[in-house]
Amino acid sequence: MKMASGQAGTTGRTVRQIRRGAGLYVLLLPAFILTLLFAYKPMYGVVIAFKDYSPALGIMDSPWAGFKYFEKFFQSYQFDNTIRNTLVISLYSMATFPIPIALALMVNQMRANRFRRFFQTVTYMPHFISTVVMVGLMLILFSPSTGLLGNLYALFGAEPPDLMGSSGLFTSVYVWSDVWQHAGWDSIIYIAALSAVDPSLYEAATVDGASRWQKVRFIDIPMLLPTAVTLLVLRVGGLLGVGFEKVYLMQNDLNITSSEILSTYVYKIGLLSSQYSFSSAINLFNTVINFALLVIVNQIAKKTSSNSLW
Amino acid sequence: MGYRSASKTVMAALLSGALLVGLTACSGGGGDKAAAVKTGEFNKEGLPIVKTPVTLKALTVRWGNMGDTFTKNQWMIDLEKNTNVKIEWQVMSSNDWNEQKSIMLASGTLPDIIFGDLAFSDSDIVNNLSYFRPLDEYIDSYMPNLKAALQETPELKKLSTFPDGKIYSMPARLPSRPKTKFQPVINKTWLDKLGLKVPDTIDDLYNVFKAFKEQDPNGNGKNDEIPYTEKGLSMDFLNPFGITDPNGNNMLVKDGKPVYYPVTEEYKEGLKWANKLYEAGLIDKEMFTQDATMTSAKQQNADAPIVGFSYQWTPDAVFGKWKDQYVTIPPLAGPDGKRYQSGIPVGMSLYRNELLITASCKQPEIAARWADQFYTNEAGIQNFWGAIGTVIQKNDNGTYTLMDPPSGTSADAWYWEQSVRDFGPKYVSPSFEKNIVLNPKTGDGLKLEIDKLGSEYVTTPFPNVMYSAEEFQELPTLTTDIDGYAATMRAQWVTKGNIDAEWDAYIKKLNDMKLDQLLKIRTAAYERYMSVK
Amino acid sequence: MMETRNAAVAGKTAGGVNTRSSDAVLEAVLYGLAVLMLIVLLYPLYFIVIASFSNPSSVAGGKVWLWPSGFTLDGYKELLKHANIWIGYRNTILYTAAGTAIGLAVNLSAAYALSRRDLPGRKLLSLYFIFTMFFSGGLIPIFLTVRDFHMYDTFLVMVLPFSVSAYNIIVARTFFQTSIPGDLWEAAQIDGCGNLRYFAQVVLPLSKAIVAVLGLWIAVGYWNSYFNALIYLKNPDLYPLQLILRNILITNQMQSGMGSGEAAQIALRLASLMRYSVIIVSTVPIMLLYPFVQKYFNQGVMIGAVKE
Repeated sequence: MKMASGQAGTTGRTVRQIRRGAGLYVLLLPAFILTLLFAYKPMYGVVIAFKDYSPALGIMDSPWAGFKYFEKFFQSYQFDNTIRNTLVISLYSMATFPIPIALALMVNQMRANRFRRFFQTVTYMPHFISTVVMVGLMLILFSPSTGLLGNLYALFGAEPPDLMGSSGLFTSVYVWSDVWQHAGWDSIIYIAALSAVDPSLYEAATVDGASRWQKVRFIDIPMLLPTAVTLLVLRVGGLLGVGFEKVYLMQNDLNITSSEILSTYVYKIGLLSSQYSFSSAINLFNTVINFALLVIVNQIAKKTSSNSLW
Repeated sequence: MGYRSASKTVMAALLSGALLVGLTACSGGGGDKAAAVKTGEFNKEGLPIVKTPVTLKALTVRWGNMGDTFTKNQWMIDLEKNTNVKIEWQVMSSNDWNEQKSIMLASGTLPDIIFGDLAFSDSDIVNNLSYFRPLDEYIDSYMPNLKAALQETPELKKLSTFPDGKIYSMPARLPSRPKTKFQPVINKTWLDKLGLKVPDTIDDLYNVFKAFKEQDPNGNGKNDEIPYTEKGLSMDFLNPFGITDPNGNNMLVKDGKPVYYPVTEEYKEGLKWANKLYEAGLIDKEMFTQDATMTSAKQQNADAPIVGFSYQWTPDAVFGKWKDQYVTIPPLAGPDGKRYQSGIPVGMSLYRNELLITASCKQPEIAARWADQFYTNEAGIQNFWGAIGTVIQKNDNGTYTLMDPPSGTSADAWYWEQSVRDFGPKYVSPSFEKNIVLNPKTGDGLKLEIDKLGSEYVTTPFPNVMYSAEEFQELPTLTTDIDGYAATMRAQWVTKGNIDAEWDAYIKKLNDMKLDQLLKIRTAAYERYMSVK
Repeated sequence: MMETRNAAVAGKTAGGVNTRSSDAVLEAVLYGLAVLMLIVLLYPLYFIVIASFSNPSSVAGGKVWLWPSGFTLDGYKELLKHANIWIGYRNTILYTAAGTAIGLAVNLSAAYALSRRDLPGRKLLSLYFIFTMFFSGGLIPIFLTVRDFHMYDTFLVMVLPFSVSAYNIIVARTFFQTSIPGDLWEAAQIDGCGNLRYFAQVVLPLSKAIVAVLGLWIAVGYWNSYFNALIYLKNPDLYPLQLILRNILITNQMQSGMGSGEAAQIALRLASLMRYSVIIVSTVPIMLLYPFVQKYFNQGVMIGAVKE
């Protein structure tokens, strides 16, 4: 219920709105300025992708190269492969998006307080394991000869699959180990959202004879929906940005056909000779695609739910 | 809060933001200009180098966590006293140097001297040539020691000449280095236990592996022996087929011409043989997936040795408490009856980019004269092992011996602590080396001993050539694609076989990836290298 | 209120027998699944703990199952030999505390402002922040900017310039939009309350959950960070814990470059030895933070305020 807008014309209304929003602008100010100085001011650096950048010449004085590096990337042998691998990993990973949500719903239903807190704590702990140790751990546990997996299979007299050396299984191993490691941590935001549910809603539902499952379906899930939609949209915006470190550590000659992604490819070519412009071009291409996807999904979200990023 | 003040606040903020962006947008690098050396201060020859003490900034990159312990080397301390040149060291760790390097190059302020080849690679220098001073005149005028070294060992000049014909970095020749790189090492105790002779040919090796696998030579009743394991298939395993690649660039030199060996018949035969062993269970099934920690764990297995064979620098390096069971053997003979060893015939001792003088340095003559001090024989050995009196003992008969390391540390680790070791300018003349008496039972002395087993079979490798800036533009994508694909197929053929059926498609794909272009670049660089007199 | 809830828990609802049995089934499935998950989660965590007390060869060789194999405290002893770890702890605690305070202030304020549908230019301002999640000038221009503001190698660079997180702002904005009813602001306005006061005195107290979550995210982010320190710090006295630990644990690069000389072997051995003890030393402190924060996620803590 807004106060009646003045009939004094749009300028008058805008002025009044800005005046009313003055306090809000003050709240925005610190973030606005920091972003301006440390994100927008350096943004001229994107031109590196369009130049033959050499540190000795500096960004401004390096000669222009136009779309040369973009063409180089599109024509490169690895273009199809790396994009495809990146997308496969990303989409597969996105399919596991509901798991932290389910986990949060599950935890929310636990009445035994001590068990619930213990369970929740254990689920978030793996998040803190560093990537290096995580991959090292996977190599040890999944080793067909000496690992837990190998021994379990041996118990049944079967031959264990080579999880770390198979290009067909790479994506699954990568995605599910991520789920193991991060589902608990990722569920925290949903648990927090659920905690804001007005308890009187539950009471009303009980009075209406709703079962636990129905309460989950009609109270909990709608409560989580805005957060879930927001996070999902943001996730789509990260589609081509599969993280570098874990994939790089898990790569080996046997699984490389599935494990060479954009970021590892950029890293490798940079090892022999720093390819500032080339990697910058690939990154720019990456982010442009990501942003375009974000815009599309945001539009969809706007039309189908009332939650969108802007 | 009234309208005026709120609006003003907002406007002020936006304006100041825009102003800041505008004002600071065009700031570049550029530091202060240091004072140039005053005439009359600098001595063209003799010590000290300058009459009043001068400070130069030097950057060096060392492995991992090594730190600046080398600055306590007595020779270094004496150097400062004698030359009147004080060095302000900036020691960086190799761990994350790559990122920091980009920043340093971009900010445009480099120290006066870059020390050690770990700091900047060929491509960093070639792509940022204006940051580094060409050294030809300084070598000529102020560096008699280095000049003599270049004349005595012309290979050094070939190594250090950049594509534009000038020299931008100083090289090094390390003392007491072998010709061979990694040599075959086998568990002798097992051979003796099973009554087997040291294998001489690859067929012998196959039989020995089979015996290792089946006859429980470590005697623990468990079938846990792994005849051969490595972290990934080492090209050394294909040495008997004529494939030697100490520089790791997938190139060979045959009849004076550079060859990309992953497309040769010998390579194909080698992989077939490896596949035969793999299918017979004689090669570790995890060879292509394990990391360094797991490989090492097998080599140092807690209750009994389980690894039979490997290619190593020395036999005692990796096997932990089992090291006495392993010995180095001569290279194995391949299908053509000949033996091949990976290494460098003139010795694995020549390196470049050990010292650079940057354009930021305002006293390059001083830096050059200071660097020249490293190019005497005694300087060379003291910067490789440690100072005379601490690590090296100078004997009355003109020989030099190494003292024992303090308890609790290995010899190699001690040398790394006491000196710059592999890095930095140094030159030890081949004729001087006979004065260095090393203990033949361990470390560098041991390597020289076992080197004799393989030195006559060392082939001339594709040298460490220099590429131009244009070549460096194309090279990374070419090698990542082509070498990457070759490695993938290598792993596949060793583990799954079927090389004959897939060979032609493989060659075609490599050609699609522009193998001819890669060869063209490598050959051009090779010819430039060989043409330097 | 509470009695009705407990009654529901006990299954004595007005709904009758059918509701009760489906509830019981749900309960059984719930706890059964939970126990299974606990095993899958706990074993590797337990493995890390016992591995930190074991001989590294045994660990990598698959000899460690339920107990440490080749029990040794060397992993910890080696690690604690490095005295600069304590400097690292001190710095990281300072960065985390200051950084979290600044981060919360900056991000929550912006998020609330953007959550108000009556904010003029809301769409554009939201885009302003979201855009930066995708497009960046790159490391070198940002470095030059930091240097030009004379923040290089200072305490400030670790807690201020990069404190804005568009991601956090968006998530918090969503929370504010869904959990703070519009009527509250109307009521406050009638009472003559301005935006700032409203935010500080009404919104924040009602948003304990999002403050807790964001605080946790930001704190953990600072605790684990090393990259900014790597680029923007030169003075070792300012190094955070993770950077120091990284320097202690030698990376793969070293082995391939140093060949198989003794020093390289020792380095590899030490790295394997300390790998697990490093995890314990670096993460246990921050993990202990969570239980304190957890209570803010308890159900029913908020929103009763609307009825007043």
